[in-house]
Amino acid sequence: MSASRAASDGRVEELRRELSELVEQQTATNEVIQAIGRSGFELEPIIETVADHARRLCRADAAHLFTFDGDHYRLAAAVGSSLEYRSLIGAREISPGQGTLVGRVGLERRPVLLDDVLVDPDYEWTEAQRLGGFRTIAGVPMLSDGDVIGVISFWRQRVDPFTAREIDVALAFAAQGAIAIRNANLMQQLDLRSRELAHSVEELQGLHDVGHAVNSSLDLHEVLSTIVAQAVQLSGTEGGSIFEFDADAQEFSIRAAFGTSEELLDALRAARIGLDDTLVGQAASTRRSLAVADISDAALDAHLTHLLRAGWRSMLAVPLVREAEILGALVVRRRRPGAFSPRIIALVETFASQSAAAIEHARLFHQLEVKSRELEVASRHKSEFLASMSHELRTPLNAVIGFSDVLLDRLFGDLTPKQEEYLRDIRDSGQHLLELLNEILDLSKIEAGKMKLELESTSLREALEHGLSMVRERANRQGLSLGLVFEDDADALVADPLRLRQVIVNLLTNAVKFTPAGTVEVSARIVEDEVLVSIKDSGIGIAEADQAKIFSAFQQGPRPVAGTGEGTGLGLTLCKQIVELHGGRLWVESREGTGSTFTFALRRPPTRPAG
Amino acid sequence: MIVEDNERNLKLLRDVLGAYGYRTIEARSGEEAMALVRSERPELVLMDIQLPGMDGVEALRELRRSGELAAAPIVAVTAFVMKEDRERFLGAGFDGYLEKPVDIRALRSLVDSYLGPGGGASQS
Repeated sequence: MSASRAASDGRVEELRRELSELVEQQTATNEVIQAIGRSGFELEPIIETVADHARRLCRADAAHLFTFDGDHYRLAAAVGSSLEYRSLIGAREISPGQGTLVGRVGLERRPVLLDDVLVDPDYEWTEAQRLGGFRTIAGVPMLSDGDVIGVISFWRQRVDPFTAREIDVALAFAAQGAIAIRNANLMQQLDLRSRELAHSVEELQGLHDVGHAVNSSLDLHEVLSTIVAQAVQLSGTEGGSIFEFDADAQEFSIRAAFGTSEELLDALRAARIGLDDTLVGQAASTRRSLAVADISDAALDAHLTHLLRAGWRSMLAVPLVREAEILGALVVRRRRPGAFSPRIIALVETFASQSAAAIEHARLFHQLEVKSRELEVASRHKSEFLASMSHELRTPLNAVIGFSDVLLDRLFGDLTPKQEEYLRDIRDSGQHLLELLNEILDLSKIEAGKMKLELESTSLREALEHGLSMVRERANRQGLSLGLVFEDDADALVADPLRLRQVIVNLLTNAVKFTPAGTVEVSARIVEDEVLVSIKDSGIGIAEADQAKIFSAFQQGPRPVAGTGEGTGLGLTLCKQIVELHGGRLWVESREGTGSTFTFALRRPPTRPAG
Repeated sequence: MIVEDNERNLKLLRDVLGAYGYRTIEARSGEEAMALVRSERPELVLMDIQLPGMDGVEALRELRRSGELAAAPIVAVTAFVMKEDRERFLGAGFDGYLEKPVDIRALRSLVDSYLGPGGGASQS
C-alpha cells in the first residue's frame, strides 16, 4: 500500500517536473519568437536569446552558440563565461574535427557528450578548458534542412553528466533556434531586397518630383495666383497681390493678384516700389508683417498711393524671405478701414511662406536650367575642340611619319647609318605624338562618360600572349627574359577585348622600359571571384612617394632605360581608368631597386551552375 | 586619282604610289575631281574628307551621281578617326577607309587589293 503510494507520488512528481520543463521550453521558444519580432530581423539578439535559454534549459554553467559559415564555426553568442574566455574562443575559427567539442558535433552531426573532458583521449583544446574550468561538456547541432548551421555547447564546472532528457530538450530547442536563425537570415535578405527596391522607387520619385517642380516653376504665375486667392478668401479680405523682389534693381514687381482691377494692376506695374521708400519694402527689410488700419491716414508711398486711389482703405504686408534673402511680399487689403487680428496675420504669414518657397523653387530651377545648358554647351565645345585638334594634328603627322617611312623603306635609294638613325628618331617622335593624341582622346572620352566598352567573352591568355609578342623584340634587345604563368581557369573573361589588350600592352611596355636587366613575368590567377593579372619586373622600381603619383596624368616616376623611348605620361592613368570602367582595380607594389608588380583584378564571369 | 588639298600629303601619296608603280592623277578639291573624271577614267579614288568647297562625302555622292566613274572604288583617306567618323563614312558609301597618319604598307596592300600588285599602267 505504502509502496504503491510512494510509486504514485514518484510518478506525480515526475509528471510535474515534465510539465514544468515543457512550460519552460515553451516559454523559451516564445521568447525566441518574440526576440525575432523585437530585433527587426537582426540576428544577434535572437542568437543571444537562444544561447541564454539553452543554458537554462540544460542547467549548465555556461552555454555558447557557434554559427557555421561553410568552413568554420565562429562564436556568435556566449552566456555564463568570462570575457577572457570569450575572447579566447572568439578568436578561433573552429574546423570540423575531433580536437574540439564543437568540431566534433559538426563532424558527427549529432549530440556529443563528454562526461569529463579531462579523461577524453581526443580532446585537444586544453587552453580553453583551463580558462573555462569546465569538466562536463555537451554539444548539440543546430540542423536546418539536414545541414549543420551551428552548434550549441554547454558546460558544467563540476563533473555532472548531462541526462538524456536534458540533451533531448536541448536538441529540440536547437532545432527551434536553427529555424529562427534561418528565418532571420531570410528576413534579412528580404529586408535588403526591399530596401534596394525602396531606394529605386525613391530615385524614381525624386525624378518625378523634380519634373513636377520644373513644371511648377514654369507655372509660377499660376501657383502664386492660387496662393494669393486663397490667402484673400481665407483671411476675410477682398483683394491681394504678391510682389517679387529684384535684388539688382532693389525694387518690387507685381507677380500675381486677386480681386484687383486692371487699372490698379497697370498702375502697380508702372510704379517703382522700392525697398527703402515703401511700406512693403520696410516689411521686407525688417522681416516683419506691417499692417495699415487706415490708408487715408498713412504716409503715402508709391504703393499706398495707388491703393488709396483705387478705393482700398486697409492693408497687411507680409514679407517673403528665405534664410537671409528677401524674395518679395504678400499683401492683402480691404475696402474699409480696420485692424488685422493676430489670427489673420498668422494665416497670411503661412501663405507667405508658401509663396516664398514657390518663388525660391522657381529661381533654383531656373538656375539649374541655365547651368545645365551651360554645361551642355561647354561639354559640346570641348568635344568639338578635341575632335578638331585630333584632325589638325594628324594632318602634319601624316607627312612626318609617312615621309620617314618612305625613306626608311628605301623607296628612294639607300641611306647612310646616320640618316637611318635620324629618320627613325623622326618617325618614333611622330609615333609618340600620335600615341599621346590617342590617349588624350581616350581619357577625355572616359571623362565625358562616353567611352563605351564592347563587352564580350574573351580569352585572357590570348590577350596576354598578344601583349608579350608586342614587347618581345624590345625585351630581346635588352636581354630580358619574359615569362607567363597561367592558371587555366583564368582564361575566360568578359571584357572589351581591344581595351584589355591596350591595358596589357601598356603595362608590359612599361615593365620592359623600366627593367635594364633580369625578368618580366606575367601571371594570371584566380583569387576568390576575381582574376588577378600581375606583371612583375625586376627593374628599377618606384619610390614609395611616387607610387600614388604615377597614376595621375603626366606624372612619370623614374627614368626609363636608355633607348626605350619616353612614355606619354598618360598610359597608366588610362590603364587604371579602363580597368575601373570594367569594374576592376589596378594597383602597384614596388620597392626601389628591386622591381615593380602591377596587378589588375577583374571580376570573373559567372560560371554556369552545375547540373 | 588622289583627291587631297594638303600639298605635302598629296606629294606623299603620289610619290609612294609612284614608287610602287602606279600612275596617279590629282585633284585638290571635290570640284576638281568632278571635272577630272570627265576626261580621265581612274580605277581607284583616294579621297580626303576635309576639302575646300564640297567635302569628301559630298564629292563621293556627286561622283557616284554623275555616272562618269563607273564602278571604281572610292576610299576615304582621312584624319577623322573617331569610331563614329569611320561608321559615318562607310555608311555614306565609301568602299574603304584609311586613317591618317597613313601607314604606307597598309596603303600599298589596300591599293594592291583593288588594282592587283605592281600597278603597271593602272591609274589610281
